[in-house]
Amino acid sequence: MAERVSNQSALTWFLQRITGILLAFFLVTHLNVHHLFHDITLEGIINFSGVRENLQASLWWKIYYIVFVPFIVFHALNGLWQIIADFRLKSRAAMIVKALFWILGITLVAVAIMTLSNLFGGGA
Amino acid sequence: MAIFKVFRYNPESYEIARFQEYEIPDTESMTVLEGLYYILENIDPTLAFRSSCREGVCGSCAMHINGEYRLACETQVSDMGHNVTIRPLAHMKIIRDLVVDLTPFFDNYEKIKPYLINSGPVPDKEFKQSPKERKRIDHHVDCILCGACYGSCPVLATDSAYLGPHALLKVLRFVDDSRDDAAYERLAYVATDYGIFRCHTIFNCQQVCPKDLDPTGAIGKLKMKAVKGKLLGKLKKTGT
Ligand code: FES
Repeated sequence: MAERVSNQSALTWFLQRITGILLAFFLVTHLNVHHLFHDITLEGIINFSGVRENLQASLWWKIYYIVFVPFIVFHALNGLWQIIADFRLKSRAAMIVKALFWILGITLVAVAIMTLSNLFGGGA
Repeated sequence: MAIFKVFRYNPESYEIARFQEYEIPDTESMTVLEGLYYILENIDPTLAFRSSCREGVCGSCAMHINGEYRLACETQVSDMGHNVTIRPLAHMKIIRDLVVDLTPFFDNYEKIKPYLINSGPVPDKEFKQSPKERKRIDHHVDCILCGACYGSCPVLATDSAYLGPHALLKVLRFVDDSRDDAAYERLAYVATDYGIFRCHTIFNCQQVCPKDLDPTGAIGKLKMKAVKGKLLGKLKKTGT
């Protein structure tokens, strides 16, 4: 059993499961609130104002979306990385892909949080 | 009567790989392995395949028979509908016809140290184990290393560095063994993306195992143990 790389995969595997379970909860709640049952519509049509009013209504929704975004980004990018990793890239290529995923992930979360804070604050 | 369509390939000749058909006249109570022996002895002495015990113990005769990895010596021709298509195990170099180079398979097996590690003093007679402790490993020790799981695993199709279900099943066999005290060292070795975390829980290995073992389940258990070990900071990294 020669020494190999770290056991980081144990944590990413675990986090993938945890985020997966939480995303199921997030998704059901999101669909329930924004698309299916709750009346966030004006004259029966789901629209921007309805969604924004809902987001501004309580602290709970703010926390909800701030958590939802990084979870979904992590789950999606890590899942994609797991597929790519099946093809056993050379270590340099693997490092480049991982770095690109980190950049993409951080950018997506930043853009999402900026957009959300505008909505929370009542901006457009 | 049965028709055997057998994969033929000799890397040393210029002929391309092909399927060759053979007619076997009397197949009553005949196994696929006996059919292959019939071809070898009566029709085509150049056909190459592996076998030894002829009774499902040695694991040498695993091959791809009618869409599934099976032991040729335990597969009845009549169960195959008298049309039998045979290919070699996948993911390994073909040496000739149905004989593959098992080196990567056994190399991976060797890497997981498939023997007891006990740093305590060697007892006078034997390492004692209660029947209850023995029962925990009962199932896993039955693996005959036939390679059916290795051939059926789609992860190995793209990633030859993956240890494979055969090796990982054996890891659980030693992790669960009360006489072995290297559980965390073993877990640390396989808790990587060329070990248990490369497995996508596809269940092919479990489906094809001729001994009805459950490598997928074993890998699942190892994942849980590894995550627990990681969170408790117990996974040890060691040298060779
Ligand atoms: S010849 Fe030994 S298992 Fe089939």
